[in-house]
Amino acid sequence: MRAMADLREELRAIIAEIAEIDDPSRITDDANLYQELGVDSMQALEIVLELEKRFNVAIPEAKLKEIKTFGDALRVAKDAGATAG
Amino acid sequence: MSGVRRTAVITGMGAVCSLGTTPDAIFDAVTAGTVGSREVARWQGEGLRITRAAVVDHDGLQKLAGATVGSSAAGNLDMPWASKMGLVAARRALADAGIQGPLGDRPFVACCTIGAPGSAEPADKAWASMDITAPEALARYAEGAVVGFVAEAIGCSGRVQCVMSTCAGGNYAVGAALDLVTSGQASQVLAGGVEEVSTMVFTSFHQLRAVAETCKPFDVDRKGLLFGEGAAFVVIEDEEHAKARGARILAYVLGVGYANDAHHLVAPDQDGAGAAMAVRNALCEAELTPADIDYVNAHGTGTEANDAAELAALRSVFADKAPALAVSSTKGATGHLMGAAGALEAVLTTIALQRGLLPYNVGLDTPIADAGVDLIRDKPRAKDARIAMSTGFGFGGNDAAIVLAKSGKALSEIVPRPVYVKGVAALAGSLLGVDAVLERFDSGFALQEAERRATFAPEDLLGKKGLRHVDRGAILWAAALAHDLADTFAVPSERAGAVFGAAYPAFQQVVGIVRDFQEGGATNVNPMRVPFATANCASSWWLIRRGIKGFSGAIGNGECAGLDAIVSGAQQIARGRVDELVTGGAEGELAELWTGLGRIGWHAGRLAEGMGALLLSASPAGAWARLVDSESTFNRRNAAAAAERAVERLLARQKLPLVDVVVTPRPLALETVANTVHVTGETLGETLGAGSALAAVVAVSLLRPPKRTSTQVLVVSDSMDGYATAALFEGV
Repeated sequence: MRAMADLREELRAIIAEIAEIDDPSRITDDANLYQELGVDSMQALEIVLELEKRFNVAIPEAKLKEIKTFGDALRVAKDAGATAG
Repeated sequence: MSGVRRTAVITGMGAVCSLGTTPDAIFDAVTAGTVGSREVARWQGEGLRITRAAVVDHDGLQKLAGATVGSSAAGNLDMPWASKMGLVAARRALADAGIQGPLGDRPFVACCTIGAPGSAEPADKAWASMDITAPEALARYAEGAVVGFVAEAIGCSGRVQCVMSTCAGGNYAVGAALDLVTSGQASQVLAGGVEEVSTMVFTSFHQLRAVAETCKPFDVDRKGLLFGEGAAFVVIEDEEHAKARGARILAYVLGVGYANDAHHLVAPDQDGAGAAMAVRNALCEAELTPADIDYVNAHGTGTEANDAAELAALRSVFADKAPALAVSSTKGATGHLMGAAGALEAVLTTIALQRGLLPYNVGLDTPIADAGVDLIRDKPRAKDARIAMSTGFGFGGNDAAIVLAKSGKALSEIVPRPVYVKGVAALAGSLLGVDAVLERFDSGFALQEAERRATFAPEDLLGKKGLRHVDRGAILWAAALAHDLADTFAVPSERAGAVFGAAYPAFQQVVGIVRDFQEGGATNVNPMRVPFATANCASSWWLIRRGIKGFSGAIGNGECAGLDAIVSGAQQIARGRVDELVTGGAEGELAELWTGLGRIGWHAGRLAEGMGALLLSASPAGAWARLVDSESTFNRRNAAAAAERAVERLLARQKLPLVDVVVTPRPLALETVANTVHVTGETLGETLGAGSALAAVVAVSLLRPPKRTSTQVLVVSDSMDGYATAALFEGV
């Protein structure tokens, strides 16, 4: 559980930085990345690439379309084998 | 009493792409459903998922290019790959039109929007370890250089314009030629585009996940674009001129329409509003209604975003006529030729009209549900189409559509409007703002080493957000405009725009891509560099931030780029397409470039960051100067001589024995034509493509009350690449 909590915080920090979100507490599990947090398609890709690089995982292209909310992103990252380190 | 517009016609065509080296061969292959893609040998073993592109057969083209130059004076082939393809296509277009010998003073307008970083030439992967600062590399990279090589090889001595409006650029080139002919400035223009499959650009798009093995335009399963390369040119000519010399008329060019998405640098507006506006503007200029269009050669890149947005745009404009509108994209067969795409598609559309045969969507299996238009499927369609449209929508949100027809049509005269100057913006090194720049120019005290770079904090002028990855030139452009022209436009956003010029546009991120590649291979390229590696990024980014939708242009004429952007923008105002434009150039520091130019002794130690822009307007309200006339020439071996010739021609046309003042960024032998010559670069530093725009800022400031010191000022610039332009301003 500890690792999951850290992964959540790390992913939240990545998204906050890339999408320039001043208040990361807005990034809740059910927050829609695109509509609520204003992430655009390039930023979404950048988030994925950063995630892949930081956690040394590969996220299949088909999985990208599943990501709508922060919770989705977290789940996809976890499924890909990401662990906070 | 309004008269009739001059009519522009196409009298010659040439094209080269993966499918052939003549327009007819390419059209035959497209309509036969041939896909031009093949494995690219130099990409094997790079860890790329996709290693196919629609590339041109190297040895075959090399032979053709060699035969083209033969043993003529310009006859050597030491030029980028894109230029070689351009040379073959340009020569064939001229021969097809029955034009012998050098192009001479006929204008040459060519789009190139990638340049030659990571060229296929040489094909031995030298690009993977190339020294970016090597003089021979620097002289070949930039878009303006690629076009310059072609211009020299076909013997251009008149106006050469390098257009960099990304994937819509081929249509911009046709549009610029149309304006030159219909305004009576030229009777024959060679227009088109050249583009090679650059390894660096391919890799960055690959990492952006925007490329696919096959292009499936308008298909539910479309996965991205198929990279392609090639060149296409058309001779656009005044109809009367063509008839008088007995030339064959292949098609009529009835009009062009432009717009700007003002949405995102690499993603189209999903409702297609910008694309729709360009299509409407083209119909309006051609004095047509949606019912008149028999065929649309669509941009249809096969990307998720483009195809959906494009269909939305067509449905919105064609409304109840949309279901019967025949639409196809030829990119499934030819690949996407980027800056040459619009030109090739103009060629293919012309043949479709001539033969009464419409290409089908090669690669389309299952159309997008509710496409709403008649997507031509499975085989070409025999149809006596009379009028066709070809669309192009590029990065930066640049949109352009052209209208071609089988027969002519009397169109209302477009009376050129005067173009006024009502604002200026400037930056030279650490001097931010036109007041600081002009004060320094007046002092005559040269910019010092410590002053060569801008020192402002970007967030102070541009806010904290949205500055990640942004190109340095774009920052300088936006910051100086925020400082000097904060309220900029007095007209609606659809009637405003910008034309940007740079010698080394977006070079910071282009070099970044090369560095990524050299450090860690193809898969190490950071795709986030792509938006700001596009040649038109500076003005497009600014237009997006400001929500400006009328026009976005980009000009790559080397050190003349800033001044040529002003001249090119003025044409849009004169033609009535927009009412106000910010035009000029900006160039930021780039260590590799400054080092490289230092190594060839070019401006050594004097390079500085810079930006110069004029706010041009169709309205005299608040204006203090007017652009009277301009002249451009080309001489790659002696640009200074070209500049002197441009001045001579301009003064002769204006019947002026001499002018009071000449302002030029670099010293030129112009003492005999002016009482006073100011060399702005000696004080304000060498700012490359921005330098000629800064000279224009200084020039119009000499006309500005209450300090007005002159009534007429001539701005003159030359460029290392051979471009030269002179522009005459007078006080009003």
